[in-house]
Amino acid sequence: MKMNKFLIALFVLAVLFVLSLFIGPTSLNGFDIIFHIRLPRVLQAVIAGCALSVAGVIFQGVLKNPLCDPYILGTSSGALFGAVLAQVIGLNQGSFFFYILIGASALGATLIAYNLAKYKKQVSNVDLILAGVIISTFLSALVLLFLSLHRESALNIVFFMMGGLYETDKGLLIAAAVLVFIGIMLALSLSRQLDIFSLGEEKAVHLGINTEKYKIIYFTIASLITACAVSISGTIGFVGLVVPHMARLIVGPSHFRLILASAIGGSMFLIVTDAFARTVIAPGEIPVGIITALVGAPFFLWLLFRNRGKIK
Amino acid sequence: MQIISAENIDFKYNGEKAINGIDFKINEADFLTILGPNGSGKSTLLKILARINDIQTGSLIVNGHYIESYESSEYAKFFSYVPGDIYTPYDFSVLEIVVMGRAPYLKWWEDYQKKDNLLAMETLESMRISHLAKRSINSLSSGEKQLVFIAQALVQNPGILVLDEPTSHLDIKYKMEIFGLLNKMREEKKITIIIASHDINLVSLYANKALLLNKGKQMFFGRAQDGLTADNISRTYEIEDTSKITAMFKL
Repeated sequence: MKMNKFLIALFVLAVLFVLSLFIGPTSLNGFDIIFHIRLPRVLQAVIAGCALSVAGVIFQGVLKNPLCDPYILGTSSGALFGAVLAQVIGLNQGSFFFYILIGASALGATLIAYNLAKYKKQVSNVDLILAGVIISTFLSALVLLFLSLHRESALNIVFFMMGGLYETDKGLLIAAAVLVFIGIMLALSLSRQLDIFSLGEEKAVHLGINTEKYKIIYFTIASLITACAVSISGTIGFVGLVVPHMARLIVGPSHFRLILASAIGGSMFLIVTDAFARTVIAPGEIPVGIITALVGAPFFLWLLFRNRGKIK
Repeated sequence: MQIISAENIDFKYNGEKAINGIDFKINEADFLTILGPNGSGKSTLLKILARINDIQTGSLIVNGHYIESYESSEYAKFFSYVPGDIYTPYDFSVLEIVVMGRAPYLKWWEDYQKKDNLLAMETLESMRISHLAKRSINSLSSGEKQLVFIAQALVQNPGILVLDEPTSHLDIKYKMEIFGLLNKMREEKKITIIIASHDINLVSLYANKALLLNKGKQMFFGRAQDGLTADNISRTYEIEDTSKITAMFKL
């Protein structure tokens, strides 16, 4: 019964995948357009959608906070800042260290937000969101500062910031796919402990979990897959917030099923929003991050009001 | 057999003393109650026992080993803790919550086995709440929720069960039920019970040891019938009029 749900979901994903190959600002459906332009782009949507949604599930579980996602916590801005910093210090786009810096900076931003919110060994949910937003704002300001100093590379980065699925290097796409896959497998193998974390960190200690160690592992997995998503598609917000909540309604809160469902659901969500983004004002297109934010921000408010009084 | 031996324990939060010179020893199958006004250091002491707070000064030996020498999962096989109030935003089922008590016995990659689920179900049955198994934890009353977390703690198969004000917002039916259950566990399974509570009447029915705290200082430790006197209670809670205490608590 439960496996059936996943098979149906995978089937729907496959159908969406194929359909979206035939949708675009031009009605030309030649071989070149489908295989060299749309296929990589749909693959990007799949990888980024998976990564951001699973990162959202991990953050929401380990922090016991339904309002978290990599965008709100500052992880995405951290990755973006890392990319810009790498350019400033002259690393080649495509070099190994370029991506190491993106990953490290994503993890760094997350840990800073977390530690800012920590007081007397407790992390208040609201403080955490505030810390994440402030870190995000500060890092974005640094990125903008860099933009105004280096106008020649500005346009690239602006599009990166808005979140959009544009041409990327094929090697990068494959590397990101492999890393995201490994990250999701790791998260699945540690999903039982994530269930326990969602009763709170103290309860996790009572149940024999080495919480300090596990927190670092979860933060690292979530930050690295977020960095992968940002590397191929810029900062796309709220995917990691909306998708896990939808998935939870369908498969329940247990993290093994939730991670699987979010990975599939996240791919669907970005395929559809991106297809929409590139056709709705054809021949122009809207960066997909704008659409996810238009959907996600009201969703965030809805969650906030629904949990009022319970989230401290 | 001595289960806990605490010697001269102090604890400071950011330089501020929360507890000061705590000294007590309890044996297997003791029922210890910790009493004191709010802010007297009860929770601080329980959190040291639960290894939420790392021990700073003094020595604390649990089941023959220094508390800081245990691996996380090894400690959880012996020590279980029921907090006064637990909130999760996610709708786990009661059975999913209870089976988590088996976590200390699993390797990191292992999932719960059939026998773990069976044990969880048996525990729910023995507590006569198996009809709740499929319900969402967030749909329960606070009394039912408290019973579920006691079930989770029992599934850990502990030697010590600690409860932090478990009955503070429960009606009398659940209070009696929970204390009766704890006493049964103590008698049948030789589980040592430690309970922080404000229900002086109720604990005086079951506890054989008492630890009284005021402003982080130990006012009394010893046999419950020696400790729960009007005089000690009035010193601990700083109430002048002992006659009212005698009337209120039938001491």
